[in-house]
Amino acid sequence: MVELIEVAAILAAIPLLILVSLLAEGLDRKIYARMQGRIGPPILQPLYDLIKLAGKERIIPVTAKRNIFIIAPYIAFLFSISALVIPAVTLISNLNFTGDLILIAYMMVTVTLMYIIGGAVSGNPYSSIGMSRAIVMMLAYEIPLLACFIMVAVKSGLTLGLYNIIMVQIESRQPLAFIYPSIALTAAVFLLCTPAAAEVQPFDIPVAKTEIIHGPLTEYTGLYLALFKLAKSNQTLLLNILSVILFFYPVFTPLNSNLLNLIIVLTIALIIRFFTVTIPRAVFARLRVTEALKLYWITASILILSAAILTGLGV
Amino acid sequence: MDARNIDYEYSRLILPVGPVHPSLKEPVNLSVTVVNEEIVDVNVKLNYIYRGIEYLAERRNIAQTIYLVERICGLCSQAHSLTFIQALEEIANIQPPERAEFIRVICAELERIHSHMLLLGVVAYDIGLDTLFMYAFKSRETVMDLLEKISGKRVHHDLNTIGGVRFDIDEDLRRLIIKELKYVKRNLDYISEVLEDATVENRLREVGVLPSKIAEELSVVGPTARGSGLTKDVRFNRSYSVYRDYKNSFKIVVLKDGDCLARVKIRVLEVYESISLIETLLDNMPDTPIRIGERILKIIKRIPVGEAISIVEAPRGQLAHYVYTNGGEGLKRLSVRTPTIPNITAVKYMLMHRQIADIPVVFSSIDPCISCANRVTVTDAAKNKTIIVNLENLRRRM
Repeated sequence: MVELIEVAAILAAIPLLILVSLLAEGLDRKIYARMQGRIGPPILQPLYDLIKLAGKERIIPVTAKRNIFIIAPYIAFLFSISALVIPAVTLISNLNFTGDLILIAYMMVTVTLMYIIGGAVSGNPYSSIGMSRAIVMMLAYEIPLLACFIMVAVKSGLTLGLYNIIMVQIESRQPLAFIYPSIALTAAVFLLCTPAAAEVQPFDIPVAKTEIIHGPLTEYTGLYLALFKLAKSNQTLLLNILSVILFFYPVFTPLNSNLLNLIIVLTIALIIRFFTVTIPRAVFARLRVTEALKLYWITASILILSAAILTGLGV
Repeated sequence: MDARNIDYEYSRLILPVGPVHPSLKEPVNLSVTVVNEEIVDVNVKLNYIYRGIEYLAERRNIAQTIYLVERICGLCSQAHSLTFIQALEEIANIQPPERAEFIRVICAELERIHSHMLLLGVVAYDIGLDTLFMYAFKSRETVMDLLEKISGKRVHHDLNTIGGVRFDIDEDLRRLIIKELKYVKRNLDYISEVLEDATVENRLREVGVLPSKIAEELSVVGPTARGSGLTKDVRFNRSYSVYRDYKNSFKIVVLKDGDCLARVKIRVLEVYESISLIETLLDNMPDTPIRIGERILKIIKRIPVGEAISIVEAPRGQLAHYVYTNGGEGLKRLSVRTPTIPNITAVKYMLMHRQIADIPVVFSSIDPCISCANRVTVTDAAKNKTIIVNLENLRRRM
């Protein structure tokens, strides 16, 4: 019986989370517009875009590998939404299973891989350039991001479950980033990687519209494009929620307060989104791919290495 | 085709930038050959929007042609009609009243401001800094509203006429222009601060370098030439109209670097100069009528057969009109040389051995106006030869 309720909670969470991730994107676009001195679109605009795109004609180029071209967006969407459901359900119904951190990391990488595969099979020169750039960017930010997961897992007592990480923070009555200096550094790396994973302005190199049109998504239309866009906005929200859960969990909220818990975490996630997605998007010009690679491999690796050394020292 | 001769080189990719591309505002095709993200060849193809304006001009009377010429370009509309009118006044030996010349130059400088603002915005958009694009276009809107207040139109002002201008700048408008230009100046201070930003400099510094020697060989004009250290400005070198007397009210801006940052910075500095020139001109406007009393349809009847070349510094550089009247209200020949024609030849040199990421910003840093630059070359496909049009043929319109 308990299992049934949990399954129902997961099923109910999916459309809710899609709506939340779209609303978060709409809010981001609205704030971005206000920062530029524009009025901006309504907050529901991403939802309208999605509905409109889903009803449009789906064009498959003759040069594309048809089956993979169609399957890639579906896989990207399914993996992104399942990855988003895990932390949400953990917060709502205290679902606890070991290894969900690894599952989330695996699903996040798969979403990016689907972008790359979609670009590779499109048969368009812009898509292939976007694909090669996406691979370079993935190498740049995905490794520090995974290293962050490992650091958190080690410092929270060699656990790989989100529930356990939350419990560690609640028991010590302090967010993890405030307990250990090494985790504070790790949090810095994680937040540094967020704009690259969300593909916003200084790091929107794979989809730079003035340079390579839309990168891997150049040939995608209709529902397929909508699914890819949805996958991207899910992934951005997931990163923000994860940065709250892993580093800045609001310890004053008890874990058994169900929806309230999720709402508080979402609010903090939106604040983090403002600083890691909206502000870089508004104030920075796009980097070149080599510079982005250099930034991530030098800055992020120095930070994560010093965090590892601090962990070795036991702080 | 002999299949054995096709030797594929898989790392070599021909990337068609345009005719439809998000970074291009007008249809032009750059066939860029790329090896591992490095550009090894660029082939610029124009002629997607040939409009035949020179041909049309020869089939209308002069009064109609004034409006036609203004519509060659949306951004340099005042520059085009000013050039054309100056050539006609030279042929007809008409001296416009002094106040008219002041108003013409004020509008030409306002137009320079909004054209340069557009370029700042476009370059910012190309390097992915949409915020600067929005700010630049906000100031541009202010200037375009001023032009609308003066002439009633935002883009094509229909301001110039033979022997004067059609709209006056009265005292209220004068005060409004000075007030709004202060706002533009404040915005410009902010924009030049943003251009100092590290990520912006990173994308623009030492990108698309055009050394002054090459610039001289390609005879580039306008801000592109001045960015490469050439002192080329028609307003100084062959000053015309009011610029003769007010040479000291503004400075010619020359930077030596020759990269995109220099070309962008020149625009910012020139807007400051334009603002100070407009303010001086507004303070010293003489109190004469704005046009000669004669009606335009009577004037065009007495324009004799004659030819004249008029050169003006348009926002993008030197703009020349060759006008040959037929003595019967019409034109025998109109030939327009827009600044984009020499400038676009420099794009290939600037892009060589750069990355794909630099294509849009380098191409827009010369401020290309594609529809101005479209010409017809006569080619004979059957005999496989191209006819080169010399001056004699040009006069006889081939």
